[in-house]
Parts: sequence; C-alpha cells; structure tokens
Amino acid sequence: MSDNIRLLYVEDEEDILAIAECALEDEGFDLLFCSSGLEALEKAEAFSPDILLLDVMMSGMDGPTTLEKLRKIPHFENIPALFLTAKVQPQEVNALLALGAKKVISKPFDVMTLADQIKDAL
Amino acid sequence: MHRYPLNIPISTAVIVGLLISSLVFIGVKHLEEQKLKQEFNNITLNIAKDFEKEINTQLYTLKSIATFFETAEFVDRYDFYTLVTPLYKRSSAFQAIEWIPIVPFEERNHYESFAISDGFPGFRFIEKSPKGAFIPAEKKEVYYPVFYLEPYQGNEAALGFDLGSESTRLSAINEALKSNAASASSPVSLIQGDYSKPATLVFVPISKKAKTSPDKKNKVSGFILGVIKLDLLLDGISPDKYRRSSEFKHINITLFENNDDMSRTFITSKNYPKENVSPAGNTKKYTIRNTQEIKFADKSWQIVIASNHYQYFFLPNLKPLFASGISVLFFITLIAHLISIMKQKDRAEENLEIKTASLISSEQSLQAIVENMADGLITINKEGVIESFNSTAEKIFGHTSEQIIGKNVSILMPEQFQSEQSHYLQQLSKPGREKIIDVGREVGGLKSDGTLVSIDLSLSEININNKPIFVGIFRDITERKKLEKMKNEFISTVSHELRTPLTSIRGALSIIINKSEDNFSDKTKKMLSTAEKNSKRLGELINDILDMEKLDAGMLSFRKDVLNANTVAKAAFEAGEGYAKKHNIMLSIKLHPSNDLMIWGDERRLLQVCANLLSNAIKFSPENSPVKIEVSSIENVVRFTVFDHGEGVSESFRSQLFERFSQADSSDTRQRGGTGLGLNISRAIIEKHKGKIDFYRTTDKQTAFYFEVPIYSEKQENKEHL
Repeated sequence: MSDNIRLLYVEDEEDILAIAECALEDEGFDLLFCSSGLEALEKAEAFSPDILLLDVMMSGMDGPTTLEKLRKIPHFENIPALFLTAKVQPQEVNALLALGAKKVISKPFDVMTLADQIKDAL
Repeated sequence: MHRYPLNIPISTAVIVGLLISSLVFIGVKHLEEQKLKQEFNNITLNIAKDFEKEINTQLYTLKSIATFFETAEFVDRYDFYTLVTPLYKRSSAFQAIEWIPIVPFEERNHYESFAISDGFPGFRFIEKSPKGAFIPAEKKEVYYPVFYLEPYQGNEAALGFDLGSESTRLSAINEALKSNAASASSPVSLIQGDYSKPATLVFVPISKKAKTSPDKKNKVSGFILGVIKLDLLLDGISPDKYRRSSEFKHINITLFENNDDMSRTFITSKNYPKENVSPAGNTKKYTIRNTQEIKFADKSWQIVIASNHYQYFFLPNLKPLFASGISVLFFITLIAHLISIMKQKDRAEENLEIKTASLISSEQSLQAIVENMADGLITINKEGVIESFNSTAEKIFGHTSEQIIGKNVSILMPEQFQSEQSHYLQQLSKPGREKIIDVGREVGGLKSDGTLVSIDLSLSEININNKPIFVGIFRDITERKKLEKMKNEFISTVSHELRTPLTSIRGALSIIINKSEDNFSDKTKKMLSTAEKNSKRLGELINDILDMEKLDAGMLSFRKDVLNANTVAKAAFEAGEGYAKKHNIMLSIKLHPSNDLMIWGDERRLLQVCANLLSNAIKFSPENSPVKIEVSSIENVVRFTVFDHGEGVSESFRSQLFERFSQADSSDTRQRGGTGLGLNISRAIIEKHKGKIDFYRTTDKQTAFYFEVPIYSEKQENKEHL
C-alpha cells in the first residue's frame, strides 16, 4: 500500500473531471473518478476511500443524496467529505455544510490549490 | 340672488317700527293730554268752587244782617254801623252794605226828615236824570232808597238814591219781592266809586212776621243790599294752590252771566299771573278752556277758565316726541341689528353653499379617486374591524365591500399569518408611533376562494374624531413575485450554467500555464495568460451579477457579528497584497490607535467592499505609487479609507459613480478590467450596515474612497434582531 490519499471523486461533467484529474496527478492521490452517484455507490466499498469529493448538481442522483447513501455503507460514516459546487451563496454553502461536509469548494476552482484544499480537509 | 328674502324682514321691521313709534307717539300724546286735561279740570273745578264759596260767603253775611233786621224791633243808624263794619271789612269785595227800606209815597217825608235828624242835612230821595245828574226823586207809589250805608266814605253819592228809579236794580228788587229770596242784579255800573268795575247788587229781603196780616204772609219791609265788586272777588281766587305741574302758567278766568235767552253777558275777566293782562273777552289764544256753572242767589253764572299749556307745536309737551324718539331709536337699532344678522346669515348661507358645493364636489372626486385608484384601499379601526374597502380591493380579494365591511381584518389573512398579524396590529395601536407605520411590507393575503395572494402593503394611521384609523394601501404582487422568482431562478441557473464551462476553461488554462510552461514560446505564453486573465474576469462578472440580483431581490443575506475594525482592515490588507505586488503598487496600512474599536457587520461582505475599494485604487494608480488603507473614527462611526495617487474622479461624475456599470471613462473597462458593478454593490452592502460610502480629493491630490459603519453598541444589535 502506498501512502497516497485515496480520493473518490464524483462528477458528471467530463471536462471538469479531466481538469481535476490533471490538477491532482502527481500530488500523492489514488483517484477513483465516478461520473454518477450510482457508479460511486457501486465502486465505493471496493475502493475504500480516505476522503470523498462530490459535485452537487448532477443529473440523476445529486451530490447530497449520493453522500447520504455513501454514509450508510459500513465504515463510511466518518469519512471526510468535500463538495464542489457552482452554488456559492452563503445559505447554499451552509446547507451543504449541514449535511456533514468538511468543506465546500466553489467552482470555478483554482486548479493550482485544489490538491492542498483537499489535503487540508483530512 | 339672496337679496329679496333679505328685504322682506327688514321692510317689515321698518313698517312695524314706524307703526309702533307712531302708536307710541299717539298713545303717549293722548295720555299726556288726558293727564293735563285732568289736571286742568281739577284746577277749574277748584277755582269755580272757591269762587262760589266766596261769593256765597258774602251772601250769607248779607242774609245774617237781614235776619238781624227781621228779629230786631228797630235798628238805628248806629246799630247798623256797629253790625256791618266788621262784616264788610272781612271781605274786600264789598263796595258797600246798605239797608233799603220799602217806602210808600206817603212815608217819604217821614223817612227824609228821619235821615236829616240822623245828621245828613241834605238827605232826600234822589234819582238820576237822563243827563246823568242826581235830582230829587219824582213822585212814586213806592220808593227803594239807600237809607243806611256802610262804609259811608266813598259811597256818599249813593245815600238816598232810589234804586227803583233804575231798571236793572228795580228788576232785581222785583225778583226778590216775588220770590221772597235773595236776588242779584245783572252787573251794573256803580253810581259811586270806580264806575268801570263791574259789580252786582244783591238784594236780601227783610220779611217781618206780620201779626196783623190776614193771609199771615210775611211782609217784605226792605232789603239788605250788598254791593259786590266782582273783579275784587276774583282777585281773592288763586289757581296756584291747584297747579301741580309746570303747565298752565298762564290762566285766564272770565265770568259771564247766563241770560234767559241762552246767551251770556261778559262780566269780568282776570289773568294769572296778574301782570299778564289780556284784553277782556279775548280768550281765543287759549287752547284749553273749561266752563263751570255757578249758582248765586237767583242768578246763574259761568266761570270760564282758560289756559295755554301747549308749549310745543301741536304737542302737550315733549314727552310723546321723546317716547316716540326712543321708540324710533330702538327700532333703528333693531333694524340695524336685523340687517347685520340678515347679512351675516346671507354670507353664512353663501359660504355654506360654496363650502357644501365644494365639499360635495371634493367628496365626490375623492370617492371617485378612491374607487378608481389602481391600488386596493382598506381602512380598519383599532379593533381590526374593516370600515371601508374600495373596488380594487374587491378585485384583489374577491370579496365585495358589502360582504367585508364590519368584519375583522383577519378574514383576509391566511391562517398561518393570523396570529402574527394580530400581534402586528396590537403593536400598531400602541401610542407614540409615527403616522406612517409601514411602507412596502410584503404580506400574504387570503382570497375569498381560499387561494393566497401576495400583497405589497403600506399602512398609515390617521386620527378621525380622536379615533385612530389604519389606512392600508396595497397592490397585488403575486404576478410580480412569480416573475421575480422566475428571474432569480433563471439567473441562478444561468450563472451555474456559465460557471461550469468556465471552470473547465480556467482549470485547463491554469494547468497548461502552470504545468507545461516551458514548452511554449513567449508569444503563446502571453496568449495563454490573456485567456486566463479574461476567464477570471468572466468569473468575477458572474459573481457580481449574482450579487446584484440578490441585492435587488433583498435576498442577499448578512451574517452580522461583532467585529474588530482593525482586524477587518488587516484582513483586507493581506488579501490585497498579492494584487498590489502584481501591479507594482506599495500597499500600506494604518490601523486605529485603539485596538478594540468594534463594529457590527458581516465580515465577508465588509471585506468584499474593502477588496473592491483596494482593487479600484490599485487598478487606477500609476505604477510604483503607494496605496494606503486607514482606519479612523469620527464620533460614533468607524471610517475605512483607501488613498491612492490615481487621476481621481471628476466631481461631475460623482452622482453616477455608484450606479451600475459606470466607469468614469468607458474605455477604462477594457484597459483596467472590472465589471462596473463593484461600487454599486459596495454601496448596497454599506447601506445594509446603516453606513455610507463616498470619496473625496485630498489637498495633496490623493483620491480617498471611504466607507463608514456605526461603532458597535448593544442597542444596535438588539434593534436588528427585532
């Protein structure tokens, strides 16, 4: 096992997924990218992540619902979770934090600091 | 237009006034005349009575002398003298008192010689010749000589005069003989003394009881004659004691003898006061006269008393004039008063008419305005009972005014708001509130069909007859709210949809620039950096637009807290340092000397304002110039100021500076970057902090942008929590 941080990232926008992949490579992460909530729920247990990064607005199952379901998987109750969202209004941010997220990263995000922001949340 | 009704009462009053004044005049005049007549009657009666009494006193005197003669055996000349002298002296009216015996021819010599023996040597019976000389009496069957005479002095000529020789005297003698009672002659001229003065001769018969006479009739043996001077008798009468008023100053008393043929003969006349002598018989100038009949012996006399009491033209005195004058004055006053009242009434009526007309028209126009106004209008009393409801209100709520007036306003409120709103109403009715108590409050309303309606309500309180009435003006904003919601959703969606591709672009550019830098030519690097810079700007623009819309919708929320002013400034300074370095600007900070200066605000928003001011200052400063952020306090506000050495803002642009999308030079937007929304958003944020934002030019040509927020106080916090 490496010392890499195991990050599960759920994002339905392929372009952003690609950018994030670029931003996070060589930064000490083991990445699992899922393009939907359902996919994340299928693969999460096998991957056993250290931290979760979720987009909020997704077609099908949205970020908060995905998080809620992931939390029900054994040992997932206390895994730190981050949201990535274009919704930046304070009440929106507060609502997300209330769901148990450690941090809400706003879009557009700074690719150069993304890795550090995730690590800070651990 | 109202003149005719005015004239009727006034002319009536004038006529009535004149009528009453005339009646008063006539009445008072009549009363006065009656009074004066009464007084004059009284005077007249008394004068006549006095006169009658006086003259009858003389008659009584004569009768008593006659009685003496009848009872005495013989009365000699000396007896007569002693008896009569005190009697005639009692009254000045007696010219003389005489004894006249009836002497038959055969006893003439005896009587003549008897008188001679009494000491009158030339005594004889005499008569007057037609030429007026005294001559011895002719031979007659019987003589009526003046035999005793007192006082002798002054009457000498009458002694021995046969009274039967003169007709007037003889007829009186015959009367006395016939009636065996006192008889007075018509006024005669005396043969002795002052002839001009009228006198009456009163014969009182002396009748001795005739013992020898077969018919046992008393036989008249002679007469006692009283010569009474009537003018002297009148002298003894004074009307003064009967005069009560100041009237009848001049009184004339005239004595007439009534003749058998109903005519009368003037005897004498007298004026009072005495010096005012009027020609005898001329009583025409007198305006009032009374006649009294006087019985004296067998004669009937008239005493006519006349006076001129009319001192004023056809008036008894000034009283009627005075009374009617007062009456006229009274009516003039009354009429003047009446005129003024009528005029006042007229004016008042006119005013009332004008006012009523204008009231009616203003009420009508007010009613029309209220009914046709585009906004709903409701009035409720302090208990919440609806008192009026206009037609727009009917349309909004679906109730008719007939249905709703008199009901409680809660009927218009959705259940979930009812308790809240009744509490609100209670708050409103507390005293000491401002008259306009709410403007533009958005509330929910319940329509008649049970659906909800959003209304924008302005409430004000007015006092009518000391009762507070709440006037609510409202409009249906359901559609507006719907549109607003749609717009907000649209903006939110758009901004989200814009952000997502922007995230990819910025991320991609950032990765290329930062991770693959070495592989590109300088030109490519410059292009990439331009692309990155503009993608950032696009991101900021989206944020600003979003903020703006939130501000407009009042949905920009604030999380206020107690903040240290110096801490806020330091944070702003640190956030701006990187940007300043990039533009080669020397950024500095000057903190407030008091390190515990607290404010009440949303840190994130205040920092947003600071960042906006700093980025503007840095953007518009020449390279290598300083920019300074400073914290100061003035009275109860904290001021954050950013100084720069840029060109500044012209005064003419001041008014537009804080408006949207405004930059002093429109070309600036492209050169300097920025959305033109920053200051507008900043102003909105500062206003939400009850502060102000502005700028000025310093004396050393720096531009100073500042904002002020109040120094924290507990009150402020409490107030905002309400």
